[in-house]
Amino acid sequence: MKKLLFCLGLLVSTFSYSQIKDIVESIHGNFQIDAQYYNKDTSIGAPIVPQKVLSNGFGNINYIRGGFSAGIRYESYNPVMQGFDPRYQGSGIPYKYARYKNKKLDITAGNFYDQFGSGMILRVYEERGLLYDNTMDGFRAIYNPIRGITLKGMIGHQRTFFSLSPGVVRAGDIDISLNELLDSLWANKKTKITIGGSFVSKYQSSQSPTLNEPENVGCGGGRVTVSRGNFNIYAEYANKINDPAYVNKYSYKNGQGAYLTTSYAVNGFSAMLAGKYVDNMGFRSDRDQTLNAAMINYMPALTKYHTYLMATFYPYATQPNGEMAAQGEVQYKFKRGSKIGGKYGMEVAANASMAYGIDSVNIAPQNDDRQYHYKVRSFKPGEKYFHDFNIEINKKFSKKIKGTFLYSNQYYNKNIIVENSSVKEFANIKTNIFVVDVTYKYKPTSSIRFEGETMQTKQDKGAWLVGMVEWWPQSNFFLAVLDQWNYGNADQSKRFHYYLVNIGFIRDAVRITLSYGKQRQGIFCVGGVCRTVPASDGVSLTVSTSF
Amino acid sequence: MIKLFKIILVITAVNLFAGCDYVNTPLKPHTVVTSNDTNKVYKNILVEDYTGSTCVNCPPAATELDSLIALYGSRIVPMAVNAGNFATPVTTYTLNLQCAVADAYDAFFNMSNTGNPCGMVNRKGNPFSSKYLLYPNWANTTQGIILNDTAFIKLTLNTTFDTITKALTVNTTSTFLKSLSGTYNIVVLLTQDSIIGPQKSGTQGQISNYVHRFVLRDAISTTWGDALVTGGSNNGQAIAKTYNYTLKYSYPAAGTTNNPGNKPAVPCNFKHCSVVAYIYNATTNSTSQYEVLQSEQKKIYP
Repeated sequence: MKKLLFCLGLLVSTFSYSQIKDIVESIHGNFQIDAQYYNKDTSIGAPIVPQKVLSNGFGNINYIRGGFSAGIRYESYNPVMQGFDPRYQGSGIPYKYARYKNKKLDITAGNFYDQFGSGMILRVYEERGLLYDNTMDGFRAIYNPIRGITLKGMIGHQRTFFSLSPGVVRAGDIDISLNELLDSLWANKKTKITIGGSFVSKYQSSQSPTLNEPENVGCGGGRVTVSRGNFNIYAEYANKINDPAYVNKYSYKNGQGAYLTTSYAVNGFSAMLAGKYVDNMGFRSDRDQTLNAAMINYMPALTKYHTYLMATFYPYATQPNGEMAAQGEVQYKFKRGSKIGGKYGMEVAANASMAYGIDSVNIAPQNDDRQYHYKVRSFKPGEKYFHDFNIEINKKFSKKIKGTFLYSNQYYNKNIIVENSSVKEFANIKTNIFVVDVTYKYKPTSSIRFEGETMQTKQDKGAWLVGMVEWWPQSNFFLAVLDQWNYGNADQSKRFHYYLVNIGFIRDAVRITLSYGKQRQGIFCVGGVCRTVPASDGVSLTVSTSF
Repeated sequence: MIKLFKIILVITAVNLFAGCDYVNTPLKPHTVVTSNDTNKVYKNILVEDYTGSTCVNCPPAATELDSLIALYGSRIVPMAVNAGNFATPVTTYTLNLQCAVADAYDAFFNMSNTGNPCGMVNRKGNPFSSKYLLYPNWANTTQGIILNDTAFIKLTLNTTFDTITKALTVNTTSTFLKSLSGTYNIVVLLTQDSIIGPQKSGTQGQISNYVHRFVLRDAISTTWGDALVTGGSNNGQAIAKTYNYTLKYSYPAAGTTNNPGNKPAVPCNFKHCSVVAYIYNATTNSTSQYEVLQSEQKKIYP
């Protein structure tokens, strides 16, 4: 029998080889190891790390042959570095897949990432830097029955650290490009319309001794994209049935979310306006999970994505239990040779974003037979959570000197965003942030960059000053020195300097960085659970490569 | 084309109806079952609440622990472990409820690092990370133990306490009701109930006269206890152990790791103190390592 199977295998492999020997074959992947040595530093509150050295590492290997691909990712935490969820513990292969794709069908067995629409109903993705990974482990099929229609179906469990979420997720999506589908009538129309619809259902058994929990919870929605020339509009609406969970305090109220974004762009000018309404739209494949675990959907914050340290000091995250938010941005490029643009031109971007709670009122327990816990009074903004009004100017002064200048005015409701508390314990934080970033490129492959930042505030930890010098003597080597000084802290004994020295080497796909310095403490809260991201003082090393 | 749309509509409709459970009556009827069998040995449930006085979401977890006691009575052995950043005294929350054994458990089981409020129920859970439970899950796990688990060990506690010298003697007797393989340790701890002090709340702000219940104050044995058996037990095997301890005037004691600066500690009212003892599986590499098999508590001044 074994001989027969061996001969059969040989025959199949020989036949397969002869069929696909001309098909392109490749293996590629990437590796990254981060490690840190921790010093004891009680002055900034850095805890003692008994192991002294902690590390995170991963390696991806992918094999591709024609329409077939397969891959794995090995991860190892020995133990996980401070600031990350300690449930990442040990080593393993949490990601493995095999995929086959042709013109009509694309099928995956194993792990996969995907997104429906804006992600309000389903978004499975990974963000290595944050150790966020909610990959699905199951099956997915994508089918194009006719031109203009894409059908998707998937079933599986989501990853939670090194195990799987108890809830099984079943999801389907249809995307229709009307211009492609009705090509005889619409192919040449300037207006392009795409419509789509999704439905996601999760099943999780219930063992609650006190609640009749729904074991099947569904969330469905539709979306439309209309574009004409330089104008684009996208709208999406989603509704979720009763989904009592830890993050919504086991509320049985239906959830709903709406998202609208529109943009217009012509040569040198662009404008964007977006709005969002969210009410009880947290959706997880484990009703008892919190923080970043087992999230089925994702609702990005409608705020500008800043890169400067002080501008991201008080970051905002969407409040899935209730939020109204809006964002607008205008960008204009003053042409070269114009009065304002000067010899090299100038770019100006003005952005405004704001987020509020929804106008709701709590229901007294004795009147709350349906366990809604609250009701929405009106479609008006409630308590203010956040705003960011900012303007950024990018200007090239000469062939060798260019600069970026940023001003940002921010408002941060710490009680809601950090403490998840309706009590006004902390004053709302109002900040004015100024950034000057100038690069002097003294040789084609050499430059030096100066960055100065300050955040002026009377609340929380007070004002900060940041200075950085980043020197690139060659295109593959850099040295950076950074200091963050909390000079405005009301407690004079806490006016710390958080300095950092960073050396990096880059050649082809290899990147090695070594840094020494201090990191400040923070608190990370999501859905009623808070975790301290401890301060640290030590040496860290990152090695990464890809092939 | 129309046919295709019809098929899609039917599939979507089937999905919509199959994928949703509408619940009209969210609350289950409240039932209390009482057993009159006084000879039977029941497995008690050690419920650990990892908390801190600046943790805004922690008061509901303490309420949940009270609810479990109201429902299951003495089957619940409660313990509030104040540890981690939210238990560290700060300007307006000066109450220091930390202790070395609380820090050790918190760090070892990754509780506050993962996020407060949280806890463990008989330290059940495999893999290790699944021992971490948010408080709404305590009731499910507790009910599962009540309905399904059998007591393999009987634990009796006897204490004598001298109110003048503060000398406390704890006599434990652990009787194996079944032959078990592996290593089993006993741990004896001191808890203090009803400590009045400030607590941060997400709904009420600072509650200045909050009642901190079942607070772990010190280890009477060592942190991880003493071995009862190391190579398995025999059915009926009884092991007696005695622990002598002197109550301190206040906790944490000045000069200890949790009170290096001799900050004001909390006076120890012995009338509110209890001994908590638990027996756990200490077998290395066992899938149920650290799981608590039996626990008891006894007031030292009844």
